[in-house]
Order: sequence, then C-alpha cells, then structure tokens
Amino acid sequence: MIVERAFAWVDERVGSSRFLRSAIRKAFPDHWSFMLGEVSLYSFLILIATGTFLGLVFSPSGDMVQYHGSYAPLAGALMTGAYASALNISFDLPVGLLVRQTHHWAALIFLAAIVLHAARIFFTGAFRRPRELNYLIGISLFGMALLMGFSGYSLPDDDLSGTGLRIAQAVALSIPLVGTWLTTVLLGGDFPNAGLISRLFFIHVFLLPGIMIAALGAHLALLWRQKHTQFPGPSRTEGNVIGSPLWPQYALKSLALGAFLTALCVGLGAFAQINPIWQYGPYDPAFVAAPSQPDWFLSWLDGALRLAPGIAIGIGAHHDITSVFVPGVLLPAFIFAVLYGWPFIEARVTGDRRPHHLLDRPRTMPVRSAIGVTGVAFMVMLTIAASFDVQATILHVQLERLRVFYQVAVLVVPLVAGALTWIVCRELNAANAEAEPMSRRVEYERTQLGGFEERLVPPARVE
Amino acid sequence: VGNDFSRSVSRAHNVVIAMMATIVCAAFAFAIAFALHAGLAVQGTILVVAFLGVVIGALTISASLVSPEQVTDERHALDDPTADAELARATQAGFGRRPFLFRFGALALGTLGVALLVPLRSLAPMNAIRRQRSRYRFGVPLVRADGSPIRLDALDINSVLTAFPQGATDDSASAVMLIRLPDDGNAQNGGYVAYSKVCTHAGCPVALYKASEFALLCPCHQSEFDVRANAKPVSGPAAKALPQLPIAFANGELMATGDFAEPVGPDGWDRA
Repeated sequence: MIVERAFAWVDERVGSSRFLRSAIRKAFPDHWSFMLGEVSLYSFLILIATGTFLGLVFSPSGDMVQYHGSYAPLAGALMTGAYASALNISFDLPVGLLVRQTHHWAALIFLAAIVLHAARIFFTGAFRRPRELNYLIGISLFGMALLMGFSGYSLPDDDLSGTGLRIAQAVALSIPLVGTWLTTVLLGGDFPNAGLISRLFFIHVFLLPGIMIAALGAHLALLWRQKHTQFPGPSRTEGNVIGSPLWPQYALKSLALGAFLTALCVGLGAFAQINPIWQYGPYDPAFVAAPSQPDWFLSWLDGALRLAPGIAIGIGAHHDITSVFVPGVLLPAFIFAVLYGWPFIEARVTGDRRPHHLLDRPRTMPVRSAIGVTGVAFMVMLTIAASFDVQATILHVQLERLRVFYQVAVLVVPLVAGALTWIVCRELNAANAEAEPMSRRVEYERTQLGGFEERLVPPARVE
Repeated sequence: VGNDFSRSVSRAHNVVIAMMATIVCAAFAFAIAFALHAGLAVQGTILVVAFLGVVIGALTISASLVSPEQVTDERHALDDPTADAELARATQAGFGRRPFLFRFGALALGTLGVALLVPLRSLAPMNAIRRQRSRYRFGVPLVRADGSPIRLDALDINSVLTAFPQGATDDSASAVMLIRLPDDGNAQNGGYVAYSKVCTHAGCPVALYKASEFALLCPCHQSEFDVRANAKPVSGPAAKALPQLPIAFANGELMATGDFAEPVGPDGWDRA
C-alpha cells in the first residue's frame, strides 16, 4: 500500500504517526457558530494566496511616471508608479483584476468573519478561564487585521487611499506630547512623501502578515491544546468534548466550507466591482472626490470623527487637544482596552474564576449580553453615521440636522438596545425555567400492554 | 430497505465522480481561458464552478458515504503543579540567595532593549520634524492648477476656484480656495478672498462650496466654514478657521501680499 509506505517513511524520520493516529479522532463540536472562526481562517488563506500574486506584480513606487496603459481616460496623466502599477494590474495583466477584486472581497469578508467570531466568543463566554490568553491573541489578530485593511487600502495610491492616509496623519498629529514626532517617524517625513508607499508595502506584505501568521499559529495551537468549548447538552460535561471526528467527517465539511468561500470571493471578484481605483484618479492632495468613505470596517472611526463637536482645547500657547483626538485616538484606545480587559473585568465583577468549558447561552447572562449589545449598537450607529452626507442628499434633509440626529442617536440607541436586551434575556430565562422541564424532558415509553407511559427525565447537565 | 440504501450510496458515488470530472474539466478550461485572454466573467465563472464542485463533492461524501459518527474526547487538566514547583526552583538556581542579581539582570537587559529603540528616529529624515510651510511670499502670483494667471474677471460673484502659487501647482500645502464675494460697496480686491484649502480638522481638501450659505464644505467630515466671516467653522468637527491668504491685484493679476498668518494644515497637539 502506497499510503502505508508513505506514512511509514515519514514516521521513521519525524515520529509523527502516534500523534496523528489520535489527532484524526479529535472531536470538533458541530454547532454552526463554530464555523465563524474557520471562515476567518479560510479568508486569510485566500488573502495570502491572492496577496502573494499581487505582491509579486505590484510596484510600490512613489516616483512620478506618465501613464501609458490601456485605460484611455488617464492616458498621459502623471501619477505615482504605484498607481500606474495598480492600473496595469487592473487592465493589462491577465487575471490581474480578478485577483485584485478577489483580494479586496476576501479582506472585507475576513474582517466581517473576525467580528462575528469575536461576538460569538463574547456572548457565549468562551473567553473565560482557561482561554483568556487565546482571547488576547484573538483581539490582537483583530487589531492587526484592521491595520492590514487600512494599509492595503492605502497602497494603490488612488485619490481615496491618499485621503485616508491624510486623515490618519491628522489623527496621529493630535496625540499629546509625541504626536508630531510619532507622525513624522511613522510616515518617514511629512505627508505625502515619495517613500511612504514602499514603507506601507513592507508593512502590509511582510511585517503585519509575519506577525499575524505567528499569532494565528499560536491561536490554533492553543485551541488544539485546550480543546474546543461546547454548548451544554445530553452527556456533554465540563470534562469532555463531543463532536465529529477530525477525519473524515469534520475535514470534509471544512474542505467544503473553504472551497465555498473561495468560490464566493472569486465570484464576487468577477461579478461585483469593488474599489474601482481608476474612477478615483491618482492621489492629488488638493482635490478629493465626494463622497469619500473608507471600507466598512473602518467606517465607525470615520463616523466618530464626523460626529465629534468642533472644539479644540488650548493647552498653553502652543498646544491643542484637537477635536480629532477624542474620536480618533481615545475612542479606539478605550474600545481595545475594554476588549483586552473584558475577561479580567468580568472575573473580578462576578467573582467567578473557575475554569469553564461549557458555553453560556447569551440569555443566561443578561448583564454581559446587554453590555455586548450596547457596544455593538454603538459601533453600528457610528458606522451608519459615516455616510450621513450621502443620506442627507438622498433624503433631502439638511446636513446639520442629520448630524445632530446622529449625535443623539449614537448615544441613545445603544443604551435602549442594551436595556431591551437585558429585559428580553430575563423574560426568556423566566419562560425557559417554566417551560423546559415540561417540553424537553419528557419521554414516552410503550408498555407491554400497548399503552404509553409518560416519564420525566432529569436534565442531564453535569458540572 | 437494504436496496434503497445501496441505491442511495451508488447515487452519491455518481455525484462525487461527476464533481471530480467537473473539477478536472474546469481546471483545463481555466488554463485555456487564460491563454485566450478571456474576460473577468469567464475566468471567474470557471473558477467558481470548480470550487463549487469541491463543495458539492465533499458534502456528498460527508452526507452519504461516511457514517455520521460522534466521538467523545475526555478533557484532562493541562497543568502539573509538581512540575511548576520544580521548574520555579530550577530557573532560580544560582540566583536563589541573590535575588538582587536576578533583578539587576532584568533591568540591564530592559535598558538595553529600550536603547535599541532609539534608532527608530532614523525612520524619518533628521530635519523633518517641523511642519510644511506654504510657498507664498509678498509678490508671488496666484495661478490656476494649469498655471494660468488669475484676472479680475476670473470668477463670477459667489463662485470659487482652486489657486496655487506660481511654480508650485503641485504643492498641496499651498492650495487655496479663491472666492468672489458680492461687492457690498466696501469690498477690497473686487470681493476676492483666499483661504487655505487644507481643512483644519483632518487635512482633507475643503473642495465643496455651498453658494446659498457662503460656506466652504469639507467632503470628508462635513465641516463648514463661513467665508464672509474669516472662514470660521460654523458647523461640523473643525474647531479652527481656515487660514486666510492676504491677496491683491497688481497689473490686473492676482498675487499674494504675504504668507498665511497661521500655520496651514490639520490642527494637532503642536499648533505649528
């Protein structure tokens, strides 16, 4: 048997077969929400595959060139080598546009999957001891994915990507004491400058992916070592994991999911136009296309910048706390501090420091769920507010009125949503406590005489 | 019952074989489409078909050809308190009676680590810490983006154009919005005023003009500046007025009579 000989050959040199023999029987719980992490993993793999191709053909040059490619409206225009290269990939390189658009769609899906995966972890309490460390790695991966998204969006050097960088510069400049210094060091001088794109390129294709691959390896290794969490259910306890074996049941479903995501990203890349950089034109700091909006995962930041009141607080004669500082620096710092700190905050408040391997249903933790919904609603409102100028045009509402509406709504809606969540969770719990023993825990048995016997089964929940 | 079962298995077999054939055909088709410079839609469709073949094939095998088995993994504690204690002892061997040595060693390496961060300063040119200045001095002519001079009749009342210092039409820090206000009798320079086009909020170009309100509007975050009142912010997140450029007509052409009074660009911790 060739398969057996192959395993024997590897085993003699690596000593892997004993491990693999038990590994292929590893249990993977079947709940659909466990798929979200897998979706992030597969979109990351698609990003690496498409990104490798793009990285090899893209020229991250800040030098000015004259465009001679086949996109007629920009013929003869002066632009950076980077933008010309992005145009060439889009118009003159076979499969270039397909790969570029697939890469962009995969990035949007990657971030969405991470957010949903993180929400699943939060609302079911999967971050609790002993998984705090892996949770911290996960939040770091989320932060790096955001930076990846932003740096990638900035690389083609079209008008919108330059505008995004310009805003990022203003945000960095607002940091007290070190702002100017930090901005200069990060950008390699003032903005724009000819070396910036190659610096961003290095960050986007080497620095961040390198760290992310290492972090992802640790994330998965810890998951493997600690084994999965699972929802409570018949014969599921804190002491076991029940699910499909890795091979072949889980591997087949996972293969199908990975192939489906690839089909989805390629299909979107082929049929749904994304980031048409040729329409924006080369970056010109003196001109900008309206409306200008970032990708969806950074819209909340843009929304926060738009809603902040126009107040600068003077510190002495030469310094300002600007109106960018709170929404652009303090808000994201606060959000990430809460995300990083949550397992420890919750353990301190509830006093529950025991290890947990069985997941919570969100309704059983009304306070946690309410806080989570408040946070999510806040981010969603900021995201919606990031396009209020477009909404004002469509609805024929005065810009200023809509802004004031969102300034109120972004604070009120999350609190209302949180309160509603708390109430609904409590109601569901109360309903559950009454209904569950009757509806779920009854078995019928046929007696020898042909009748039926009803019997109550005690809940099989073991701590 | 046995017959039904074996029939469904053989049907699943056929589906899987059909899918594998689809994948092989799509693979060849993709190579051919590439060679023929087929369009985005053709190449995309072929790849989608190929990967959907994988999806259907894998799901068919998992649903019909392998048993829907569940396994139970027992969970074992990962930690070993005896090993923890031994490890703690072993790592402190030699430092046991000299905790000072251990702490000083950590401090020394930490200091070295911080020192190694100092070269990060070289990521920016040594002279680049100061912010950009504009190119306007007394007597520098203002021109359009194409370099042409600006005369008194360049603008209708209550309209705008983007102007640059002559010879520096690529210098974004020097871009100004030139507006011609209605002449109410005491307007100077034919009603022309010039304000920096760089938003004091986040640095976007203040490119839109709402003629009905005499307001410059930034397309990025919707700050509005009243051009009749020194371009003070009247709504939105900007806190500072757009710097005004002093201008005058000389020999019928517009020129600067000095630089901006305030630094140009987004407001930061350091004002200039």
